[in-house]
Amino acid sequence: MHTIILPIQEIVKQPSLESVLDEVLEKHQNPEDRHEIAAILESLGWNDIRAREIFGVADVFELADILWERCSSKVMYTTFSKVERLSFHEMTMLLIRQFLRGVIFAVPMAISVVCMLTLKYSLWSYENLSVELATSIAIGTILSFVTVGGFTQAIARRGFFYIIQGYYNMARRITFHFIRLGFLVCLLICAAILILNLVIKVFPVDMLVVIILYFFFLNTIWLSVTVMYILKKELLFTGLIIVGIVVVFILFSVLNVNIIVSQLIALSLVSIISMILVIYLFKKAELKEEKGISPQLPKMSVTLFSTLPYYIYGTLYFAFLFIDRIVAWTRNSDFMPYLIWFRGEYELGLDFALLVLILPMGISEVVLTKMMMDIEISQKSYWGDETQIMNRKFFSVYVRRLLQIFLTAVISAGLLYWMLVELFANFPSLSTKSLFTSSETYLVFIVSLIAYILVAVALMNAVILFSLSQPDFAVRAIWISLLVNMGSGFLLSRWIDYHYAVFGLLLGSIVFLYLSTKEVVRVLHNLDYYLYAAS
Amino acid sequence: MIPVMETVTMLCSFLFSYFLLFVWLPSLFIRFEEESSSRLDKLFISLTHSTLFYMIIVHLLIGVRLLETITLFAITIGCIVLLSRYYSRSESISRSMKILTALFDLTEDREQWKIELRRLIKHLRDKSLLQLQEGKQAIIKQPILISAFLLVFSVAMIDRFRYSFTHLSFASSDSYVHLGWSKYLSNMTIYLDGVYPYGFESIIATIYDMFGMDMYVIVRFMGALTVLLMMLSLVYALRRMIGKDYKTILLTVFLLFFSSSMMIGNSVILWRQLSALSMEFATIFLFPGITFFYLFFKTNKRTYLLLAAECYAITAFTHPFVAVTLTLAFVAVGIAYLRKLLINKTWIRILIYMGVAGFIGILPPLIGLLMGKPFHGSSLNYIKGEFISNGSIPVLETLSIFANEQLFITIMYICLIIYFIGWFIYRHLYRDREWSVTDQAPIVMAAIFLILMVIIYLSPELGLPSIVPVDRQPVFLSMSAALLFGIGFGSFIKYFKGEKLRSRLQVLGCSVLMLWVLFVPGQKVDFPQGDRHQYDESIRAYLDIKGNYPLKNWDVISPVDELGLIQGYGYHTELWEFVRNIEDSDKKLIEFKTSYVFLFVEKVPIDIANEDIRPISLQDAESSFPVVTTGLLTEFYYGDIQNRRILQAKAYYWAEDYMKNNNDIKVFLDTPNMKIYEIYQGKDTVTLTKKKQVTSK
Repeated sequence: MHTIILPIQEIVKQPSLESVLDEVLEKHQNPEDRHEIAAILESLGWNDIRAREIFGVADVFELADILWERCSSKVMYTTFSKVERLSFHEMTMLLIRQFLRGVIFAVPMAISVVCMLTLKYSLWSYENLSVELATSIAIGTILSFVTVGGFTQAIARRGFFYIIQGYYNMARRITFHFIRLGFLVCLLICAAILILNLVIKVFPVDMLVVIILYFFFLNTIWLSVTVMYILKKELLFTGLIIVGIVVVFILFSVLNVNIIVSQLIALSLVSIISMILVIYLFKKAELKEEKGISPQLPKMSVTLFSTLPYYIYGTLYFAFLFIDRIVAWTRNSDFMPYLIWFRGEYELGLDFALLVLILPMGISEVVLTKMMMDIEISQKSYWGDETQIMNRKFFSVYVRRLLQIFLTAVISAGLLYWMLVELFANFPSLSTKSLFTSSETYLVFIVSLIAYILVAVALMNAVILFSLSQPDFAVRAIWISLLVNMGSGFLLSRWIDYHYAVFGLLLGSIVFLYLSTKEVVRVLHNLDYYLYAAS
Repeated sequence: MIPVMETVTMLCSFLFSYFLLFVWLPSLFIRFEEESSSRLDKLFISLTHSTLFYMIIVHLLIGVRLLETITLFAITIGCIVLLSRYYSRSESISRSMKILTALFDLTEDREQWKIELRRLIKHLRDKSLLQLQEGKQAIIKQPILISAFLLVFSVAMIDRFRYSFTHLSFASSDSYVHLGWSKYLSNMTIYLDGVYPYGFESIIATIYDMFGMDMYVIVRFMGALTVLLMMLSLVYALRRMIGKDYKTILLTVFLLFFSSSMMIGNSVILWRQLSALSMEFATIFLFPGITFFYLFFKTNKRTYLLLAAECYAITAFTHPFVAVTLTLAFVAVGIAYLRKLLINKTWIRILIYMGVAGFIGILPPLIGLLMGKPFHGSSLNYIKGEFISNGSIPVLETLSIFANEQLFITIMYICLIIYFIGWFIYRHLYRDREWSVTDQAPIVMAAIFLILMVIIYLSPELGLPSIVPVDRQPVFLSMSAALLFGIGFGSFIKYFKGEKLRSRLQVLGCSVLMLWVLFVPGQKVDFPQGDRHQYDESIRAYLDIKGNYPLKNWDVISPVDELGLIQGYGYHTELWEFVRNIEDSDKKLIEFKTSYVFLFVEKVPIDIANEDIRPISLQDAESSFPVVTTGLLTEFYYGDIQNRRILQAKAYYWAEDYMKNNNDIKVFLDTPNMKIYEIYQGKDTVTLTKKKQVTSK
């Protein structure tokens, strides 16, 4: 056996073709062509003489040719870096947390309903208001939801984006930027309402003042709630609502102050405290952030462009939820004095039906978290040619989740109905306005109950689309649904009776469910592509 | 009694709403022809389009039971969007994209929007300064003429608006009818009292629905606004037909609105101009219709034919007498342009346009009649009554009487004959091309139009079928006379060569005629008296109740005249029904479904004929309750002064008696004419017991 023994010095100095190639690839993992390799070689100190001496080639270009051939034939494999699966305990805790998170968000609504039934008032409603005042408060409230809806979505999207990455400073800056924009829009709307009312005498000044004050304070509250939500301090808001109701109780029931004044004082107090709390919470959260990390925010036009679909969705979503009320209340029967005339019977049916969303909202959080985690974990377990299998698997997962949510919503509706029947049967003194004494309220309640079941499912679809960064699909679905809701409700309320506007909500919900499901199915059939696009 | 500030605010809000919706907003989206871009063009073209648009839309929406603020706004905005899209279809970047990019630009460059804003402010400032400069130049150039114009317009307006400022009630009974119909129309009830053209009502309903304005405000000022627009329509017609001869225009406007000669000595014309009436409203479109039709022949542009047809449709929609008059005016224009009418089958095109326009106008009443609704009873009776002709006086004698009575018209025709003789001589002897045949078309048209109006005016005497009732004919006769005067005077003055001479002659003519009207006794028409249906106190009380009491929670007991005002804000109980109930011994309780009840009592009952004006007495109260036997209930109880006196007296003595024994009643208003009582029992409803007892509040 003939062996060549080289001096130690030579063994060390003489590189192999493989090591040279590695060196080149370290500089650029995917060289464009052999010329680029030649350039890299020269940058690494290779010249024609050295190449000739070591590898016996004519020049660097010949060496580059050899390396290019090797590089091209080299198949690169990377190992899966599998995401660690959570333990059963961890998973259970996470899901319970998510469920509570979803439910807690609806707790203030439940508290308000309980207060209405027991005290006859809450932070921004009162059972014995005159129609004028009820109209004003209803308009202020609806307007606040629709105005702020877009901003809450934008804040949630952008704020979460930075918070998840630990950039609390950026999250704070972008969040307050949106809050400022929210206030600006709110003030602009107030000014527009005032100017418009000068031209078009929609409401008298006293009603207008109530509308604007409720609108402004509720706007402030909703904006701060969103921040509390992204900072995972939902309970704080529930506490603030309770504080607000206590203030109303003291002022109205103990000190006999006018209900509107009491509520406005409480609302202003809650808004100020919540805004201060939001600033404090962010300051506190920023302390978690590593010192010295304070990158620039992206260009505002870029931020706006990327969050615009979420903003539009938020606005359209709240418009979808409330448009049937506006449609019903604007139905002119027997010479209506104003453009909008509050109808308590309609409101009552919808308010009770809205409670059906509490349970599905909690379940939805769980289902979605689980599904998105599964997708995140499993996607890397499939080969490139197994995308169809992955897509099919997640489609079937989605169908199961859809059914789960639907069943939860149906059960929730059944429970709610049973509870209300029991409530009004056993405690008739709870409210002078029972669900079951007015045929209009009853019809509205039943139809809206069905509609909200469908909305609950459709909302899950929308959140799936958001999770896969496809807000445009959600926007398209809700936009058409809103038009159907508005159009059909308008015609039915005008041609039959005002409370038939609720069928608009039902039709809109059916369309929302259908379109959103269609969009999700479309996305899931091409999940690989959308996962790639989302990344 | 009548706060000036309140009235001014009401007037301003009404004028703003009207002009915003019918003039300013449409003028932003309408493309005007190059030669039709003056302010008056923009005013009348926009007004024509928008008026017809809303008349059609209101009727269509009622047809599908969808008339309301939201639909009106939605259709308005939809049309604006479609129109602007249509006009901007050639632009490469859509408007929504422009807005989006502007928004992004705004976020990137914080200073840019300030620059843009400054640029906009500067542009607006420069534009206003330029207009001011132009105005200043015009004043410097012709200070007397402009002052005279301002003076004539101001005095005419003060004259017409004076009633609205000094009275809260309406000047004539028909205004109450139009108010009531408009409210019902707004509530999607059409042809409540029978089929009648609802074009005027649809305009009132549009303003009410879109601006949330109390219809009372609209009706209170609509009459005077109509006069303003009529004046401007005359200016517009003359401006387009005789050019910038402002002295002639001024003189014509002055004569039409101040001179009894031009008004055919009929004070009813003036009276009608104070009230919101559909015929006067439709008359706004008479001169523009003629002008557009004239411009069509002059320019051969289809746009003007369309505009003329629109005016025709508006008149058909609003008032048949104006539609008939406009038809005759179109005939006059057609005769003046006979040669053009006959070439290229123009007349067929015109017939199609006018046929469609007329059909659109009469379609709603036609559908109403086909659906089995009867024709509006009193209008039908009125037409039947007015259409009867005597037909006994010989033609020549009739014309001779007319010529003597209407000296102004006679003189105009004598001058016209002289003018045409002069024109003929000038043209043929001197072969002056400036005096072409086509230039004479306006004067020929105006002369034929006036002749037709004279024939209509004299139709009862001539034994011809009367297509416009006798008492309405003077309105159209005076307008056609004004048109001929303006065009004739303007054409006549052109005879004289030399600007200075012409100007001096015009000044002389204007001065003489104006002074004659102003200082010769009997030349200025006095305002007629009577036809009062309501005391101002009644409206004052309505406005205060509406402003201070919860809406839909009060009931007013009064004659029918308050009904139209109250609808939509509270409830109304007929006085005769209330009195019948308090007189009915079987009825122990009188119940109202509201917390507040107001009883309106006239201490001096209103006599519409203005003859029996005296306070009520106990004797009236003791008279037996009048039981209606025939005719309209409201006419029987409130039109008949004796019955009205009995009702008012019974209500008054009942209230006084009730007040002595109950403390849930108080006096809301007490004036020499009226006393208004307020009843409030601290509950959701009011129940009046016949048994006299003290109730606690």
